[in-house]
Amino acid sequence: MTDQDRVEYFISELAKVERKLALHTLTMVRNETDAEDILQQAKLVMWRAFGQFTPGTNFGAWARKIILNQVLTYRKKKKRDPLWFNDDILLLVAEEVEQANEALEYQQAALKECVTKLPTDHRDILQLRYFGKRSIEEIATSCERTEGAVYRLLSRIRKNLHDCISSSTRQEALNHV
Amino acid sequence: MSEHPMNDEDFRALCDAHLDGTLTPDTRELLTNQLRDLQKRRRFFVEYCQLDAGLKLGSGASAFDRMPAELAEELAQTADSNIVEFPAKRGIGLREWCLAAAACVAFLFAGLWVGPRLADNRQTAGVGWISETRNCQWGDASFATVKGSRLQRGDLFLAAGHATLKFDSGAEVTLEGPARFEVFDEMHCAIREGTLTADVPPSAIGFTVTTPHGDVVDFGTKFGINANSNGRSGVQVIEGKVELRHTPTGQTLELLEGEKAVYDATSTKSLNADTEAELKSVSGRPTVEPLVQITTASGRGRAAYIYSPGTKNNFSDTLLLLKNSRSEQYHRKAYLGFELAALNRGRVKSASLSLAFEPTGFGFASRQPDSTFEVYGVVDDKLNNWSEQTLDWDSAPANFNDGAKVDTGKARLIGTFGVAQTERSIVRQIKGTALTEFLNSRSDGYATIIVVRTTQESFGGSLVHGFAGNNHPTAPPPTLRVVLDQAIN
Repeated sequence: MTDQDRVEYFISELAKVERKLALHTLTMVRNETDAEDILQQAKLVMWRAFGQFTPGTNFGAWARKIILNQVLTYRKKKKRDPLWFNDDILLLVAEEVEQANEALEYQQAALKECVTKLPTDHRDILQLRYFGKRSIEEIATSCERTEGAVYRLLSRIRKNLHDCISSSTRQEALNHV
Repeated sequence: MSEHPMNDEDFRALCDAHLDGTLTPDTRELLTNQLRDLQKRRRFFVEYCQLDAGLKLGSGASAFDRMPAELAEELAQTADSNIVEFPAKRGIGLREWCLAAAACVAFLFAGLWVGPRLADNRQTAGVGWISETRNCQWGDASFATVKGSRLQRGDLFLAAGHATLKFDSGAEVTLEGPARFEVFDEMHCAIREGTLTADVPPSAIGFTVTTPHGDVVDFGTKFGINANSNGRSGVQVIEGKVELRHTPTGQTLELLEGEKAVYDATSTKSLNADTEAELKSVSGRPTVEPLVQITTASGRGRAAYIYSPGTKNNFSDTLLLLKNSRSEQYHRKAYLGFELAALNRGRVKSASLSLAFEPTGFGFASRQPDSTFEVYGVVDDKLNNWSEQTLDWDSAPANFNDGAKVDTGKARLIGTFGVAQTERSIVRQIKGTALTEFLNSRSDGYATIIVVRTTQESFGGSLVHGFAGNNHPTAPPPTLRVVLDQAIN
């Protein structure tokens, strides 16, 4: 394989799983800035270690291991940050994330469908929070609600979405019986 | 069996607190214990976090799709090490491949957000930014041209001075005014007339500058281009290698360090040092129109907005707000004052008025359809004596107690424009004979202009529009660009 082929192979493998890796990292690390830093660093490590990857094997699984190592390395720097879990919890969660990886694609498709079923005002709140990256305080001012009411509403929306995804997943499982 | 019994709802509340960043040391410990002890909790937690992650990523490209600059550079260097003709002979280059791959990933998830985008102050669309300006005089432009502004797809005219444009690909282009330039995307631009130099790092290999009769494709280098109004262009490589693709003949010419070429509608010619004089002959200058720029922040200029009685909140110090409410409260209209002394009573040949819209953060865009706006010029010069500090709904010149109407006996319509439901940071411009005639008919050297939103909100709580006034930290104030009949020497 020439250097050019190796580069193209790496980019093509990365492109296939790039979004799943972003979801994976964001699931492990709640803070978006931290997650982005970790993923960027992990991509660099993936390229530098690409010689160790066996062509034809699962690039996604290999990449997720690198991400987990990067998460643990990053966690060391954030030892005193109360928002981070300890390593033992991170490893347990990582194991569960790995188990859930197979269903990830279907769940994300279901999420897309479930968002469309939400009432307009719930979608508006989600857009402000997730797309607009607005703080709870800003949303409260914008919608003339209290901050507590916005937290409660977000919680209810997430619950509705989770219920919707779960029911969709159950239906999908039945279809495959 | 867990030592920490907890019902599902309480556990979900802990997960919400984790996602919202509101865990306390106590609740964090509770959550940690649950996660450590119970696999079903871990499963729920992961599903809930995946849901949150999916919402965070949304649709389209995100910062997470970005290739780190260091990685892009390493990949380009590796590919470059044994591919001499990269990327021209491969059909598709690494950079194009990367962009295509990113676009595919983005496309897969397009549509997760089905509703229209809501206001977002932090969203920065565009393909680069204006990184340096030196004594710049700007003419017409499709986007804001102050230093630090984001480059958008569109045209710009730099009448004088030097401006450096930094594309997100890493390519850096310095324009020498006067120059007419067009931005397509982070890897492609065009020079219609004038001079530029480009500095292209490995991350932007394949960066292309279109000229009137050919494309200059870069291979990681520094080069300069002259595009003459008579259709003759010249390119000179300062360092590295470029390929000139002559559009009329389909001929390609590889130019190495120190080499030059001139070309026009019929032919290309490679030059050596002995014929340098010929290259200089294409360094013509485009015709400069006598342009005067006046903002509401210059001289006795003013910028303010009024609101109808009963409006209790949602004000702005930096934006001039516009709203046509369904109730009697919360109407807003903007007032602009321009001192015309810089025109020296010269006759206006043509003019444009630019307004830089920015997100206000007030109201829902989904409740406000695509909107139209009207711009009025106050024709009664006696009404020009208003002040930003005292302007209010009752005393504002030519105002009617209505969300959109003005007194057409005292002001006349000089332009209209539209803003689509999903548009946020965008520059809108009016031009035409009504604006030109209005400026020519001002006898006391001052112009008062009113901007109203004619489109009424669909429901209560809809989006409040706003454009930059005189105190906005980054966006330019309302600007009149005036071309005079008489040439400036």
